[in-house]
Parts: sequence; structure tokens; C-alpha cells
Amino acid sequence: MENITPFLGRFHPLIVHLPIGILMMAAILQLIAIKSTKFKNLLDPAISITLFWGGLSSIGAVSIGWLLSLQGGYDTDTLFWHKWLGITVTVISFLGWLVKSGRLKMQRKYVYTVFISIIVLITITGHLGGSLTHGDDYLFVYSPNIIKKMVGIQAGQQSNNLQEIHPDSIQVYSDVIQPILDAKCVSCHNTSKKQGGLLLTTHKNLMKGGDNGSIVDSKSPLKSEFLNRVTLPKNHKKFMPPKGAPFTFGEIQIFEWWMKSGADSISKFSSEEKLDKKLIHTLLRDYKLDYNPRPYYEKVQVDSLPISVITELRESQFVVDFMGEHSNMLSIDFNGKSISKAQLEKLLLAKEQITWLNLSNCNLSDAISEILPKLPNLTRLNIHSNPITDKSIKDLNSLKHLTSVNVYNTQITNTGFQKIVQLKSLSKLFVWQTAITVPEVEEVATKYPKISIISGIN
Amino acid sequence: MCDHHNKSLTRRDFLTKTSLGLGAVALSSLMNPMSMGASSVLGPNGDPILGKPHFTPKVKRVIYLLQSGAPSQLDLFDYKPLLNKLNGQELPESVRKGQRLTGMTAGQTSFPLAGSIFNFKQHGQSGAWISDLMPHTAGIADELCFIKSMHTDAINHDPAVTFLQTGSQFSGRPSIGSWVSYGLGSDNKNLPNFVVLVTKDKKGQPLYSRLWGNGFLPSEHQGTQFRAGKDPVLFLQNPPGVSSDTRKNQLDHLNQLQQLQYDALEDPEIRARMSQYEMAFRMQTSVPEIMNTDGEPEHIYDMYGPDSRTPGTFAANCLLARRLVEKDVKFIQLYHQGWDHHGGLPGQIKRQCKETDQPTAGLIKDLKQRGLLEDTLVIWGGEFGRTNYSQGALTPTDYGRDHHPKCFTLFMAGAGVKKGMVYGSTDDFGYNIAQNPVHIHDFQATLMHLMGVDHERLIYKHQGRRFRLTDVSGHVVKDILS
Repeated sequence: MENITPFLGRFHPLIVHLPIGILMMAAILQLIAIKSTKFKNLLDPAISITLFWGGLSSIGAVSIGWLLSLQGGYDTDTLFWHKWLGITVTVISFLGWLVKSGRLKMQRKYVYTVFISIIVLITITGHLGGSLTHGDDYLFVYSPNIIKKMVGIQAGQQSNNLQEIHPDSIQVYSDVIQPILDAKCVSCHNTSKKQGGLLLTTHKNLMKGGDNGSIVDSKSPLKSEFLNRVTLPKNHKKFMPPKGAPFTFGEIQIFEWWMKSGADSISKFSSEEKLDKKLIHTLLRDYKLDYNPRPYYEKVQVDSLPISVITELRESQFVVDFMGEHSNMLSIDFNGKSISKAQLEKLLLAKEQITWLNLSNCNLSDAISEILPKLPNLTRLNIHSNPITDKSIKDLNSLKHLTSVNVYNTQITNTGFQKIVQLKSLSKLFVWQTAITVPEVEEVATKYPKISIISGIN
Repeated sequence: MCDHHNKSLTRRDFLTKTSLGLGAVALSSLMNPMSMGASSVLGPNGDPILGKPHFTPKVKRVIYLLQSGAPSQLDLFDYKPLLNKLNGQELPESVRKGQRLTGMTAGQTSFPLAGSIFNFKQHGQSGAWISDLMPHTAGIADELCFIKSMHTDAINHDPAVTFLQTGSQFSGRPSIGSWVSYGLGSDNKNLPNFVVLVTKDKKGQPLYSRLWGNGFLPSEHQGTQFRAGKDPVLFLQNPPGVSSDTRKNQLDHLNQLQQLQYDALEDPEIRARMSQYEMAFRMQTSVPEIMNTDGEPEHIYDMYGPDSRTPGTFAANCLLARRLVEKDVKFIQLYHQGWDHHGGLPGQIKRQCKETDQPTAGLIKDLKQRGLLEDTLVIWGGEFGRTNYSQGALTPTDYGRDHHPKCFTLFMAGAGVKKGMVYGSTDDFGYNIAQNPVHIHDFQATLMHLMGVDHERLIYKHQGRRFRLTDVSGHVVKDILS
């Protein structure tokens, strides 16, 4: 029979709604009575009975709630207020019954105060009860940030899922570093425990350090107290964290990089010009965040072409492909035996948008030289297997983003070759079966080690 | 907004048709239950269903060199010195962990570990291990991206190769090439979008045309097999005495009849048939052009190896594949049978490698020097791996290997994948995957991603449910993307 207490106790959330309802009804009836003098005399006895039963059921709810509280496990402060406010409601209800049934005389305005305090107290007690059952943040956890701020819950910790944030918006400290601290450090370094005088709940605290001073070192991160402690041998008495999962290699790498790049609270991975390759790999592997350098055609913004232009290009025997569903950039291939000057000029309809251009094997003439300089966003040019000469590429200076050029099987000579390798962004050049000579290729290859020149493989 | 001109049904049509509607639906499903509920009509010659690719299409064309029968990864790429050290000893149960075996070795009383009798060396800057069986492939190691941790669900050839090609072990789903054709459309109106080349006169595990079939997709997306010899595409040439003009005239009239039937029934399959007739007519000139390799210079033949002069060999097919790529054919699927070495493996694998090693390397080099490797992907691999223990007796010079779905090696070269990369690894016994497993569906998802397609969003509704290549799984292997 020892279980009878908790068994009954657990009916508290059920029973408690009886006095809430009944007392609310009393307040409503009272409101009607104030509004209409006609009903006043009729309603008064009803209000009196309602208050009596409200008070009676309150006693039930309070006593059964008291049984529930005996189980323990509730936040003491909240429980204290919930209990005593509940008892107060009971007392006030009976006070109201005494007045309404004429057993006690009271001024009119005090009578109203009784009803108002019943409603206010029920609301507060009810909310506290809810907090006891479901937890403090139950009500506001899904509220918009603005409401969170109003009620004083810390906003901004919305989503732990980094995939939902654009990689360019991810903040190193608040999105990656602090969650690691929360998971591995904060259980001992929080406001109530504060081991070693160290708080790790915010950036400010982390920078402040502990009893022995600063733990962050942006000059030589690995010498910082923080990284020193988490990289000690695991059985060392100063090893952190003493319990739970140690820091992973990737996490240490991120901390090291973060300290080195200034250890501030607002920097983003994307704001750094160059992330080193290892960190990019770690972020991709451990956090599924892709910070690989993006090609030019993914960065440049151009207007989208109207459908009519795309249709026109397709009707001129061009295969038009988009560089992705969110991209307006185009990859264009010519799909015919021979390209005319009129067809070439159609390309200018999409001069901003063309980034890959393939005009191979289509009897292309040197007339292309008029078109190429007008395609500023070209990154890949394929004009192989055509009767073109050096004239075709006489003016490439405006093509600042061209990275790959294929002129294999053309009449390009050393002169044209020299011109192409001047391209600032060039990294790949195909020159097999041209008039370009082998010693020339070798010389250029040593002079421009960044360009990989493919001249036929044996 | 008023766009009556876009409607294929007028109000009058609608009323006449709906009065017979339910009966017509029932009748059409009686006649062809498979097409019940099929959706998505394509324009003639397959306008792509995706207006824009989902991602940058880094790979515009694929050459898939499927090594049918499953080559032994343990004798080619997955170097396991431990097996040589423990040669002849029993496969420990701690390694096998009760894994199912095929009926061919399940009854064996002993599972002797069999080290490869071939020498392995590291090649290129990547230091990839490749056995001496593949000297030419070894020579281009730095172009290749090896996945050593492939695994599959099937343990027998037919389900495994069906799984690899269609994403399902059951037959009837579209092949990868068909999905690609359906999603991305064609870049060359004169040639099919999905071409199949099978090495001729090979024996081994059977290949069926359903492996390159369109399944429930519109039938213009099925793979078209090109054969060696006088008739590269069966029934393509005009019969004797029928001139090209006559044939054209005939086709035009046939087209009018088809159009009448289409107007009446609106069966998308009629459209598909019409576009295929037109395609076939154009192919009467484009196919002989492709198949005639007389113009290829000597040094190119030398690159692909001596077999390349004999039509129908793997080498000749590799050369054709390059010619097809030059003509913007999107998906080229080669099959080479004869890798199913249950017994006498050392002798047989030598022969197989001789037939495939040089042509594969030659193809990759040839594509590279022409700049085609910039937007073409070459894939080499079988449908599963082979066991680390010997099927049948193990002698110092001879052994066999049974089917092994738990790990195998595949390599890729070309656009969008890292060069000189070795991804994933197996344990020291070469039995289980130790790191970074890649499932068939992951491989398929990655392939689609490279072509610019989100594998979760290329979907076809058929018989009341939605289908996709990777069924309900598949993750893009981002680590190998360049």
C-alpha cells in the first residue's frame, strides 16, 4: 500500500482542473451580474454556490497535490510558490463564498478584488504547475526569438543542425566552438560549479580564463592552457575533460585554427580568405560543411536569360545547359557539322551567362576572335579540331577567369601559345596536334608551373 | 489567362472522351497493365524532364566499363600481404562472422585463405597498389580514383548486376543510362543517348538487354546496342531494293498514321515510337560514320592495343566509346564478360587483364589528350568482389575465388572526381570493410550527382508509387569529389 500516495498524487493534474473551471465560472457569473442589474439578484445565490464548490474542489486539488509533492524531484522554489498560491486560492474562494452568501459583510470594491485575485492567482499557480510538470522552457521553446527575448530566454540557439544554415553564415564560435564546450566542458564549468574558477558558458568567460589566468593563446594555440589540457595523455591528472568523451582530433584542429585566427566571437569560416586544406577536410568530414574553394562560375552573379533567348540559341543548334538549378550561368555546346558567323553572333545574346563554351569540331573559323573577348565570364573554352589559326585567339586579355583552354588539333602555333599562357587564371591547356613545338611546350611548362599543359601522352 | 492553344484536349474532346472515360481507362489497363498510372510525357526525342540540372553537371558523358562476372579485387588492386603470410590457413570465424556464402562453397569443409600469387607494387604519386597484371593501368595510376570499399546486397551475378545497373535486385527497373537520358535529355539528335557495346564471343555470365532497358520510363530511353560487323544496329539498314527516299516517304506516311492514333489515344508510348522511327532514320547515316574506324591513325590503334583492330573486341569497343563521346552520346555502357573465376583463377585472370588493361588505359589517355576527360567520366568495375579463401583446392600455383559481396574495388577517372585518390579500405584479411564503406546506392547517388542530378529528386511515378534509381537510400560520397 506504500504506492497509494504517488498513485493518488498523480491525479493532481486531473483534479486541479475542477476548481479552475468552477472558479472561472464564478468569475464569469459575477461579471454578468455587474453588467446587468436585472440578473443580479437571481445570480448572487448561484455565484455563492459556485464559489463554495470551487473552494471545496480546491481543497481536494491541494491535498492531492500535496501527496504528489511528497514524491520529490521538483524544483523547490517553484514548488513552494505553487503550493502556497494554491492554498491562497482555496482560502480566497471560501472568503468569497462567505461574502456572497451574506455570512460576511464587505465593501463592494473588496468583493471585486476577491474575484480579480482568484483569476490572477489561478493563472500564476497554473503556469507554475505547468512548469513543474513539463519543465521551465516548455511554453516558450518553440516561440519566435522576439518573444523569447521578452520573456528572458536566451535567443539564438535555435538550431544545432548546421546543415540548415548556409555555410557562409556559420559563426565559428557560436555555431561550432560553444556547442563543443556545452557538450564537453560546461557540466563542470558553469555558474553553479565553476571548477578552477573557470566558466565556459560564453565567449566572454572563455576569454577571461580561470584562477590561473588566460587559457587562450592566439599566437601559439597549442601552448594555450586550454589546448594543453585537452591534449595531455589521457591518464594525466590534469587531462580534460576528466569524464566523458575526450576532444576529437577534428575538434582540437578547429580550436587551434580559431585561436590562431584571433579567437573572436563573430568570425566565420567563410570570412577567412584561405582555410587550410586540412581544416576544410575536417569540416567536411565531421560537420558535413563544404568550404572547398568554389569555382568562379558559382560565385559570379548574372541575370537569368529569358526563355525566348534560350529557345533561340537552341534553334541555332546550340545545346544549352545550366550550371545548376540555382545558377543562371550556361554551358553551351555547338551540335552541328559547321558553325556559321550568324550562329556565332547568337552567342552574344548570352555573353554574360556563358561560362563553358564548346565549339569543337564544327569547322570554326577565325571569326570566333570577334566573339571571345565579349564573353567576360568564360571559364572553360573548347575550340579543338577546327581550322583556326593564331588569329582566332588574338584578343584574350578580357578573359580574366578563363581557367581551361582546349586548342588541340588546330593550326595554333607558338605565337598563339605564348598568348594563351599569359591568361591570368589559366590552369589547364590542351595543345596536342597543333603547330606548337615540343621545346616550346617544355620551356613554357617550366616557366609557368601552375599551368598543366597536355600535349599528348605516350 | 487564356491558353487554349496549349491544351491538347478541347472542351468538346473532353466531353466525348469522359463519356467513355472510365471504360477507356479500364480497357487500356487491360491491354497494358504495366503502363497503368504511368505519368510524364516527353516531347519527341526526349526533351529532358529536368529543365535545369540540380547541380553543376561536371560530368557530361559517362563511359561505364562493366567487368561482368566480378574481377578479383584481391589479385588486382586490394593488396593483402597477410593473406600470403597465412596462405592455406583457415579463414577465422572472427573475420567471417557467419556471413552467408553461395551454394558453391557453403558445403566446403575448409576455407583456406589464398594470397594472391601476383606481385603488387605501388604506382604513381598516390602510391596506389596495383598488381603486375595491369601494367598499363598502373601507368596512369595518378589519373584514377579507386574506391576499395564498395559493397553490395546481392551474392549472385544476375541480381548483383541488375542491382548495380538499376538500383534494384529485381528486374524491371530502368538502367542508370536510361535514368540519365530521361532526366537530362540528349545532346545529339542523330545518335541514341544511351549506347551499349558488348565484347563479342565472350563466354561467362549471361547479359540480357533488360540490363540496359528503360523499365517503366518512356522507351526512347532504353540503351541501344551497337554490334560489330556489317549490321551494327540490328534491322537499321533498308532492305535491298528500298532506297533512302522511299524509306523517308514511307516513314512520313507512317508518322501521319501514328499521329492519328496518338490524337485518339494520347498514349505517350506512341510518341516514343514515332521519335524512335525518326531516330532510326537518322542513325542510318550517323551509325556507319561512328563504326567506321578506318580513319583512326596507327598510333591511336597502338594506344588501345593490338586487339583494337579487330571489331567487337573490348579494345575496339573502347575506341568506339571515345568516338561516341566525341559525338556527345551521354551514356556509353561497355560489358566485358568472363571474370567469374571460381577455379583456375591465375590463368584466366591473366587472359582477362590482357584483353582489358591496355584498352582501358588507352581510352583514358586518349580522352585526356583530347581534353575530353574534362567532362567525361570513365568507370571500371564488376558487380561484386571475390572471396579471400579458395574455392576448391588451393595449390601453390592455382586457386579459385567465390562471390564476395562484402567488399570490392572499383575505379573511376575523369571529370568531377579526385585524381590519384584511394578511398576506403578493407581489413587485413580483405574480407570486411575497415573504413568508408560505399554501397551500390551511394555509388549511384554519386554518379548522378556528378552529372548534375539529385538522386532523390529524379523520380518517376509508376503503378501508383514513386520510383528512383537509388530506391530509398544512397549518399553522395563527397570525399571523392574534386
